[in-house]
Amino acid sequence: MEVNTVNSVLTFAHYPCTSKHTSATMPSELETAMESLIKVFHRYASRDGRNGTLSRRELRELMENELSNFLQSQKDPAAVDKIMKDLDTNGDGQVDFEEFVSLVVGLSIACEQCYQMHMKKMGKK
Amino acid sequence: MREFNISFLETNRERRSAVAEIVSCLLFSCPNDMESAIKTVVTTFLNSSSGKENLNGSGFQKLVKKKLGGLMQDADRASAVKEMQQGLDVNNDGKVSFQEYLTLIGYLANSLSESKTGTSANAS
Repeated sequence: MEVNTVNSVLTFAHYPCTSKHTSATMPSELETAMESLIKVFHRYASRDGRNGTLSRRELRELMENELSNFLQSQKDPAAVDKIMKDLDTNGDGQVDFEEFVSLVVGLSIACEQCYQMHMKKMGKK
Repeated sequence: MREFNISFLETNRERRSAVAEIVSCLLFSCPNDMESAIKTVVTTFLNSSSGKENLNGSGFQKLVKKKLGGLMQDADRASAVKEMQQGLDVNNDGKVSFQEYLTLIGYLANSLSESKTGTSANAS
């Protein structure tokens, strides 16, 4: 399965991100979730070396602390290294935010599949 | 926008069920910040689609208006959201799949991050 992306992002040009959160409207749970993903990324990205990207060590720390459930279930001790290699699409040895988003997308897809399986199991009972 | 690389997740069916088993902890145990953020991303779609794999046009309109109105201009303008939906609809089935929805979430998260940090990632 592949995640297809919109190559013509042109349609999105009409939707510049604005910080409307200063207005009276409360951010939705989904918007808060996106904020917290950004915060988590930058919290680890600023630990050493280049700010704004995750080094191998920072990615490991992030996954050990923030994705401990996921990481514990990965039996392969080289899991983080493999994930690093997969995420680092431009091969600079660093994971930038856009590359980090791939991890979030991948986990979301696995999570959704899990949900569907869970629902099927429930349905059978 | 770059294609998301998720090859670290096994894609054949046998292994996929193993991965799904693994990730069940994200949904059903007590998650931390990042895990609960991912959970929210997933459940927001599933709540809107009533657990189905696709979201129809009006469902997508509602989701954008209610859940993304704080981030996107024109979120309550039906024609603009429709246009965006067509941009996301890579398989041209008139619906928004979970993966197409994730494309939008990824794009928005990137824009939000850029606007916060003042950097612009090289959009390839």
